[in-house]
Amino acid sequence: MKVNILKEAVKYFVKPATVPFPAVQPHFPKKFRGPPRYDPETCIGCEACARVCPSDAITVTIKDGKKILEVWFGKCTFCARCEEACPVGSIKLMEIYGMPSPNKFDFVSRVEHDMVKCRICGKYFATVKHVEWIIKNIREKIGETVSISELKNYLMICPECRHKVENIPSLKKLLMRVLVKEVK
Amino acid sequence: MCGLLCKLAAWARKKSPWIFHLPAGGLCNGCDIEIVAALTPRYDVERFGILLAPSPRHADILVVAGQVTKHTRERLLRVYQQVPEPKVVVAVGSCAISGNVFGTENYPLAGTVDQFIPVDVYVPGCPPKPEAIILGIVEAIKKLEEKTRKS
Ligand code: SF4
Ligand code: SF4
Ligand code: SF4
Repeated sequence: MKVNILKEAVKYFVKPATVPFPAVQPHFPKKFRGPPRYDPETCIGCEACARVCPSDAITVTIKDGKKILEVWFGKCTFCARCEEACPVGSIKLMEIYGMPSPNKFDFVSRVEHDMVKCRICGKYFATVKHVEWIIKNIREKIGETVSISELKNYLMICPECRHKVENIPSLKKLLMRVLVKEVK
Repeated sequence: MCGLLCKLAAWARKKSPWIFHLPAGGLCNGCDIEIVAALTPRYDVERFGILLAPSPRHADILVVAGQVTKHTRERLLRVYQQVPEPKVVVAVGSCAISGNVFGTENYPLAGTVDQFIPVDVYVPGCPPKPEAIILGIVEAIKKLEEKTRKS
């Protein structure tokens, strides 16, 4: 520890202390947290990042069957909770510094998703990629015993319809079928 | 009438702009520390001619960090009026841009900086790296040149 401080002190007699900034790239320490960016390839549009963000920097807009997620790092506190919460590692805090700009809405990274309709009420409720991701995960866990169409039947229902009393018996039957297949 | 003298003033302003650093109240001081870090020998903005002015009356660039509180609103407006024309304002940090985690509907806060004075350059970050602040001031110098040409 002390040796390190001494080394640091001696360095100033050997070379200039000033960082020749525009000529050399700045030094980024380990685990540096820069502006968050989406990777549109891997993001599934699950909104987990938007829900955990303490400063509401991530906004979700649902319009015309599209879900648009926008992270405005002009409001971000660079805590990396979004990176922690993301199930697929899509949003990442980059190792860069934010470029100054005359327009404060330049500091945005956005991603757009197609959505699926509820098969009972016809309302848009989740993204296509999200449903696919859940199906993939279930099939990884319980094997190929359940067909994709059967799973889709169950997953393509919005949370409100799932809780409606008149829909519960038929959904229960479907769920039981899926579960029984798993046991076999 | 002031042809040569004005040209000289414009040249001096471009080559050596003086900055005035103003923490606007609603902030954690992280950005202030980074602005001060940009002035230390490690980053040494004086090699670009940028100098910290002791009074807003001597400054060309106003560097504001943090959100405006109800108490600092008056002071911010007064300081802004004291800076002679042409002047540019640089807002440093997420707080100054949007309110950050403190939000905009917090009881001691009056609003973001751009609701009270015109902001020319925004530097994102919480806090921004000193390099980003230096680039922000360089951007401000370009704006200053434009404004000088117009006036
Ligand atoms: S780093 Fe923190 S504040 Fe920034 S977008 Fe992610 S969760 Fe929100
Ligand atoms: S996949 Fe990750 S980045 Fe995309 S919405 Fe979900 S949490 Fe956010
Ligand atoms: S932007 Fe972040 S570092 Fe700067 S004053 Fe606000 S909370 Fe502090």
